[in-house]
Amino acid sequence: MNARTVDLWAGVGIAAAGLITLFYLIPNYVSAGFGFGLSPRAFPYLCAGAITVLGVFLVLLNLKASRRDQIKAPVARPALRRLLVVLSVLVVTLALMQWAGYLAAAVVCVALLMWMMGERRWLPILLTSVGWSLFLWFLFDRLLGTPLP
Amino acid sequence: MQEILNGLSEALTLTNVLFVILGVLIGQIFAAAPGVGSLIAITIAVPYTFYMSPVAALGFLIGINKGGTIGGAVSAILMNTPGSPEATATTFDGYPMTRQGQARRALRTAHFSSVTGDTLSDLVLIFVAAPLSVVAMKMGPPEMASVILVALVIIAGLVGSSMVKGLIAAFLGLLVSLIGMDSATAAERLTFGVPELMDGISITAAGIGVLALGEILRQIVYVETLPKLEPDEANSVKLGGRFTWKDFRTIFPTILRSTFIGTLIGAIPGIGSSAAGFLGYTAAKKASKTPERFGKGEIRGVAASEAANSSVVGANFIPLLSLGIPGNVAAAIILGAFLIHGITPGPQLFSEQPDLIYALFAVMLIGDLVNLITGLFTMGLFARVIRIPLSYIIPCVVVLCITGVIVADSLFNAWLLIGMATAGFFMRMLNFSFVTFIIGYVLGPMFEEAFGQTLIMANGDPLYLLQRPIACLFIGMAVLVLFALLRQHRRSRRTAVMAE
Amino acid sequence: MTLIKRIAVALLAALSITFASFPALAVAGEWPTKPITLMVGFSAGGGADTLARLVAKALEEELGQPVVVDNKAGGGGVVMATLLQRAKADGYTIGFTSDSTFDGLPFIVRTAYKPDDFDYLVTVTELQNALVTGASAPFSNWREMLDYAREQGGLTFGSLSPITAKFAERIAAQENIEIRTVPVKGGRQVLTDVMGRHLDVGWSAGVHQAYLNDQGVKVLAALNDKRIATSPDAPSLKELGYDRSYTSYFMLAAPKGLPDDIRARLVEALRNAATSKDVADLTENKMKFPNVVLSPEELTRFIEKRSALNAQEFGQE
Repeated sequence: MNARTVDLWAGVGIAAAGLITLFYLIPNYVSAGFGFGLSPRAFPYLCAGAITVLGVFLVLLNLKASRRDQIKAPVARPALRRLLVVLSVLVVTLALMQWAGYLAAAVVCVALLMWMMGERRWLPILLTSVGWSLFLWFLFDRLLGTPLP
Repeated sequence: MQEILNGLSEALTLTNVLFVILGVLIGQIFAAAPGVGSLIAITIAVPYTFYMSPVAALGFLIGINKGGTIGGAVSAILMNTPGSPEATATTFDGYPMTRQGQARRALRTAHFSSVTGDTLSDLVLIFVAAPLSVVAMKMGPPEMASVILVALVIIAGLVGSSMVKGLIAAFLGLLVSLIGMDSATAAERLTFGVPELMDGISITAAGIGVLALGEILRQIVYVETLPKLEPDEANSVKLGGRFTWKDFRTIFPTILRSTFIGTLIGAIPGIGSSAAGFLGYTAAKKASKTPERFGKGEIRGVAASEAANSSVVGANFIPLLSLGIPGNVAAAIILGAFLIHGITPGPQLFSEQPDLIYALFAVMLIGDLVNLITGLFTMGLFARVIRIPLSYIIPCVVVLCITGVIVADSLFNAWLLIGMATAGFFMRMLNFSFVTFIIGYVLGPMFEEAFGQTLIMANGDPLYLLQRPIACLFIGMAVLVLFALLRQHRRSRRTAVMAE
Repeated sequence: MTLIKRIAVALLAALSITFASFPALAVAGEWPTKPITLMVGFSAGGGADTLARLVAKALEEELGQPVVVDNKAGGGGVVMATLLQRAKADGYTIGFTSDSTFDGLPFIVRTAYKPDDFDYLVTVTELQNALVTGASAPFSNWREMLDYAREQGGLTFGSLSPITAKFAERIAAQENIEIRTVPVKGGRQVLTDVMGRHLDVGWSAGVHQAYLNDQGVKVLAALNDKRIATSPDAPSLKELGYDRSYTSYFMLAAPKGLPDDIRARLVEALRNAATSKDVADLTENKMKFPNVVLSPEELTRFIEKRSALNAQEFGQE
């Protein structure tokens, strides 16, 4: 994979997503209008149509070999793996918020991410995660009266 | 003259000035914190102003609005996360300056550019509000739709490397903005029966997700490649960078250009300060003899973005005062406060309640002064944050983003936030302009409404547009810009490839 | 020993159960313990929004908790009502809109809710519905407008809601003129559009009253049952010979099934808020809306009656 082929496949993906939106999503998940103003489907059709056409255009632009073949692909496999780990930390955080409450979730989130960012000393991790979570909780939940989970 | 004096004496009571100061401080704090912009602060504040005197109430709200113009820049420069969306373009050069140990210089640049832009735009408001109302009155749905079209084409072409990718991002943003209930018919669109989606994907989830958390994801994923600050180096970050008189002279032409752009955009209802920030930035890059230095810590970049987004705030009052049309959501909220106090903005206000108009102008200028003075202390205070290493800041910012969305919306939207952040990550990686996406998203509902209204007004007659010369002008502009930029892209593509 | 142990365990268990259930009881008794959201069916800056913010402020003083106004504009209040129907009936989410959202639109639009899905609380004002046009329009009264429409082959009409569109379309059909309905999100936008002559005429629920007397708008006809106090010269539709009128209220509603004690507390607080001196003074004198406060029973009866009428008129379509 290089920069050109990544763009090529991005174009293919976008055009395909556009077609799915045009022929499956809009007819099934957008209700038709009843004569008050523009139909609710009209503008989605316009946008999805434009996306499909532009996606095809992106494919055409990148079909031929070009100088961009020499450029490395912008996303590599290890980065994707790391992204997956970060996303699971976020998902765990939100799940914890639902079950265990805001404070516990926030502490865990800060601690895990600090560890991922290369911090290994446990005292700074503990102080930062607990201190920051308590501060936010106090500010929003207590002072400003906006309830947190 | 008598009215001006009356207005001044009405504005300069101790209570009023105190409320303006309080408003400015609240605005700075809220705008500095990611996720809770000064708009949320204004919205929360409105009910508390009902039983203040009209001038105190408006001074308080305008103060928050003004404080927000410099607060948003702080985290944009120090943390690369815009405190409010309009400061996004400030991150482009503000953050690189921080990395080069020029944080204080960047903050001062933002501070002085903001206050100068805001003050100049207030002066423009004071002098041209009445005459401009004649032009603005001509804007109807067809003109609105065509202005949005021009904005989208220009932004797609100027931000990012590829026009095609920029337009794809813009249409994706439009499409995402349509999720939820249609505002005209209340029909559900792409909600898949999920009740929480009926309200659409909120601006907090989309904005914080794509702009802030998406960037943070990138930083966590590529943590090895981030330049690490050694403790000594971190100290020098704070010390380094002094804003000099020479700097001010360097950026002054940029400030003037951006103020012109921001004021113009502010006077047109609906486009808003985010677009102004980007347009100001891109215009400065175009005009520069060394455009390649933009994005790498160019002081003019910070000045361009901040002066442009701040000058919108004053200019937003041009349509509000002369026509009663709010320039953006913040102005709409302030308009509601006007009405509560029995003030109806419109051309007649200048002849009926001139005292009030002059008091309002005075309050705005006081707000600028307060912003200038308090910013000297508060922005320096925020600058100390940079001593803390990224491995401490980034996890805290992640939690702050999530908290912001929960506070403004709900826990469900925090799930959307993660989805939008992932989308933002890939847009960054694959070079699809996330900026165009957000602008498309913000303008989407307005665009659809104006577009639909135009179709109904035209009644199927394409020649109808000929009756709307202003709309024709804008559409012609969009087409011209499209071709001009396409040609330029083709030419620059070859050189860009070499650089990549 | 074992006996003492058992008694101790039993006591502990009893105590912990009591403590565990105590906070729940306390919360129910102390409603409200957190901020209340007031959803508004129209966009910020219009008449409904301004009134809602006023009521929210007064309600806040009554209940001692913040009342947060949240604009959910669209479809003449349908967007708001759909969200309201799905909200928890715990007294922390209430809605502000015009009664037509509940008693008219379900028979015209395919709404997810029905008129009896809500608890109706109180009204705040009677709407001052009028057909308005810009001051520079080439017609100044109903007859001239009809002539203009025939001459131009139709009129563009700014409408806030599908029901006002239906209302206008029926009258247009009676007069055999063509109207093109342009959906507009809030009353203020309608005024801006007619003042800029982008639209020929528009429906206003009362915001226009600040723009009368050569300040931007002209009233062509009163759409309420009677003439509107601020435009005594504009005839009502009945006087013009049509057997139609459109009297309606700005009102508050909650999702169906509020606990009785919360409902009682809420209704009392809302009544006090809606009749408070500040709200009454601001609505009557500054905004020029009559401060009509119907009780929940009167309001529910009004909505039931109106629903039956609308079901009859639009139901078969």
